[in-house]
Amino acid sequence: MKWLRAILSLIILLALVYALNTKFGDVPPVGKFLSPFTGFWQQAESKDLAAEEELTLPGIQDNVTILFDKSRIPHVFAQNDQDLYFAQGYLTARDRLWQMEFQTHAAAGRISEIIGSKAIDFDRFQRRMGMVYGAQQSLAGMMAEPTTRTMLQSYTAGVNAYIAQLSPKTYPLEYKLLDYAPEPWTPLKCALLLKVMAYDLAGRSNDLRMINILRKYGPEVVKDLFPNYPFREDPIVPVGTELDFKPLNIPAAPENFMAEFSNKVLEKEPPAELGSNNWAVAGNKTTTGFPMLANDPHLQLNLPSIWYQVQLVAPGVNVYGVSIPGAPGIIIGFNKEVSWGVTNVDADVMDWYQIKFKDATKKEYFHDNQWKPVRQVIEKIKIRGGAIRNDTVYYTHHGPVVYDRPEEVFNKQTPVSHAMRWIAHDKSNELRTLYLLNRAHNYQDFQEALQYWVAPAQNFVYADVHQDIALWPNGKFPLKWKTQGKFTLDGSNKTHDWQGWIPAAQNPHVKNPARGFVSSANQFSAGPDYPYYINWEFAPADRGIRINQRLAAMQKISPDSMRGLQNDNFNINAQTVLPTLLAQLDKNKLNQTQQQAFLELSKWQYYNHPDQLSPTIFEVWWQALSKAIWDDEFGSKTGLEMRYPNRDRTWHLVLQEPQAKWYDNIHTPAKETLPMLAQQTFVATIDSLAKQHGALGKKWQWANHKATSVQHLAKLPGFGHENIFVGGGRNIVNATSERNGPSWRMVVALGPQVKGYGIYPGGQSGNPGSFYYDNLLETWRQGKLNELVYLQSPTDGNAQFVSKLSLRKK
Amino acid sequence: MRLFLLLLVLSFALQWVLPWWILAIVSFVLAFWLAKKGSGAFWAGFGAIFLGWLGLSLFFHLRNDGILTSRVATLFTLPQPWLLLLVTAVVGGLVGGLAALTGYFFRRAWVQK
Repeated sequence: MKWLRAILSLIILLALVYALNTKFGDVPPVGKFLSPFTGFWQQAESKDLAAEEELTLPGIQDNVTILFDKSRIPHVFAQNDQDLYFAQGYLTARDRLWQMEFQTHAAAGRISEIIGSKAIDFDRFQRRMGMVYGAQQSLAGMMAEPTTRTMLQSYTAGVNAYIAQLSPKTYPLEYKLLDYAPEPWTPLKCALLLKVMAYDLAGRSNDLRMINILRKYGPEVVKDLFPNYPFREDPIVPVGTELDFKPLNIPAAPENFMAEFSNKVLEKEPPAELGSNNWAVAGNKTTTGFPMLANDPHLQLNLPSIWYQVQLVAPGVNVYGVSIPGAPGIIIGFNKEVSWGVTNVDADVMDWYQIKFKDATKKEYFHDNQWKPVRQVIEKIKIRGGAIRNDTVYYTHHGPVVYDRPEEVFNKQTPVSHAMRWIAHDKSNELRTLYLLNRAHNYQDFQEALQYWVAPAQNFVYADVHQDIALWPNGKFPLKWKTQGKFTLDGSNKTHDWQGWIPAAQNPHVKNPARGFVSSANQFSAGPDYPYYINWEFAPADRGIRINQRLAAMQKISPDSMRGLQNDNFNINAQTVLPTLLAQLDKNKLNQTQQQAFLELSKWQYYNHPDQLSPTIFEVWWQALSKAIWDDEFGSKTGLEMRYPNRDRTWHLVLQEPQAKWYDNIHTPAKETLPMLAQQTFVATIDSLAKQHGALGKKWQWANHKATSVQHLAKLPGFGHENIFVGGGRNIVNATSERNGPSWRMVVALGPQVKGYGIYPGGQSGNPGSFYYDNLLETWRQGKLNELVYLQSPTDGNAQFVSKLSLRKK
Repeated sequence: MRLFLLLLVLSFALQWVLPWWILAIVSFVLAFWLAKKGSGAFWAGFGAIFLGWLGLSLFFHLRNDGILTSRVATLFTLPQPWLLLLVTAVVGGLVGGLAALTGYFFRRAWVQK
């Protein structure tokens, strides 16, 4: 009896301990996680940093001194490049290990290893589109060059030196929550991170949608509604900029080809609104007499922060700026003499080729009048718990056939039985560009650095202390016939292949223009007078138009007025169409709330300030109206994956073509006109807003309606910030939308003593239990910048430092 | 009381260096050795571990101004952050109490034979 009692009790005890030590679904192992000895409590860091710390690390060649300023940004002083990148790797891992590793796991299609089979479709897509293949190609390029090889190897050694110090108790919080362990870092992971950037910024494709539209409505409608240059544009390289090169011949366009309909498709493509602003102004327009530069890349608003600030000092280099956690060097920043920044070029560098396999074995495909061999790659996807799923991917010379048979695909833009030709699969060495930029002294060095950049193509803005400013939409661009790749292409026809490259020196560029400034905001790289085809559509020109208007008007520019422009909330879209739209409404048919809203809009000065009501009304109305115009012909109910004509074309329709047939809803017997649609959608907008926010009033405020949030990378409730009171919006210079926005704002004033200012919506630490996880968010929200501490030596300005770390060799 | 104090000190020390479930083994062994009554064993085990877990998590909580406590509390849908401290201590306490009780039961079974 007593034994029975004892054994029963033991069984219950063992079951309890087992249950508390095991992860069930999304629930972490409760006992292990809650234990203050080993669990999450360990990550509840003190706000105060140790004033002095000394570490002996194997792999260091000489002593390294690291000073932390009050935002806990590290300033690294090393005696050589190896130690410099070792220290960068070590420090970044110390602050961001989970983020770095999780992103590379995601890129490599290995999330199922962590969270189980629910991630299998995601993992398959990552692998089938050749993310690892592309990273291997880049890695080969980076390892072939001694300087970048050193960067990668030293950085990797630094990350691993940190991982070697960890035990389950000190693992970053997310490992405890998801119950897994970090693995050793490799140079391939650095390359994978660059591919993540490439996919986010150069991973969108409209080819499938466009071919579907072409098939359904014919070339005339495509020409009319999807033109190859906007009506209203203000390109990066101004129209009329003289060419300083003799262009190559462009391959002849082959006869028309229309691939078959394909409508087998899913969501999950990178958001269209990822864009950025940058500009530089000449010394004769500034208060200091020296050029100034500004940059704000717009990315998803996430925690841990996308960027990691650091100053890197060693013989031959002293650079400050932001890095990507997991990759060595500085991506956007400045040194003593030069400053640079980037925005995305919406180049068409992802094309789809319809593939004809010889038979069901898929061992050969037809190209250039012969059967060519297919390379089969078997992807082994590990699933948490031990299972392995094999998946075969077929590679042609174009690239991988992302989906080789009809199935529910992960990304709606992916046509089935098409091979993907993507620039990010080519051998490259972007790191070399960064290495050289970090050490650049003048424009010549800048130009030298740019030629190594392949993808994602970026608008590199430049300013230096020698009074030069410049802007290069830069990357490796295929030499295409006009509109090549606007639609899906014929994978068997050799003339549809990419047939060469635009020479690096002939990429669009502008240096020291007469207007005294250069700028980019993802719009067309150049005007119709540029000899090469880069894409038929770029981001809407709104931000570019506004920035150029302001810069042309501004004189005596100071860092603070540059900051002001970064926070500009002017709504070009509203200014363009709102007067015309309001004129369509019949006021007598509006009820009281609708009349109030009408009055509100009539008084609006077109600024998307956070406390205004009009931006809410206008943005909702504009969406509803666009939908009412286009959805019947181009929406999802057609059963085909298509898209609406762009905003520029819709402007033209509304402003210039009151009789167009597109206003008519083809599903109703009545013949709709613009005034009818405007009235209907206005009434519907006000009614739905009243339903959502109550009577017209404070709840309708733009910031409240927009509800910007900064979320944890794994979307953990409580680990981010909701309903942040900020203005701006999509296609506004202050591009803060619901989930995307300025991920780093920087202003640099060149001069005898370079001065930098910057902020990001987060903090240096990736640890949700750290004070430095989100301490910069409020300053960012207010649109302010912190002065960046730029030092010449470790003994310079010690007062500003709160902590010092010395790395000693073993 | 002796069991409680010994358990408090020893489990605290061992949990510092070993996996968290070492507390079950310590509670079991000490209760096997020292416990006189079932209820006494349970409450000594519960109390010692409860107190150890509460004390240490409270230390981290205060050092951190409660930043992480409120995040994790939201994640676990607890209405108040301080409840997380209580939940933590109770989970530890239950394991400690049950382990001590089991140790006592084994002792009784053993001795009777």
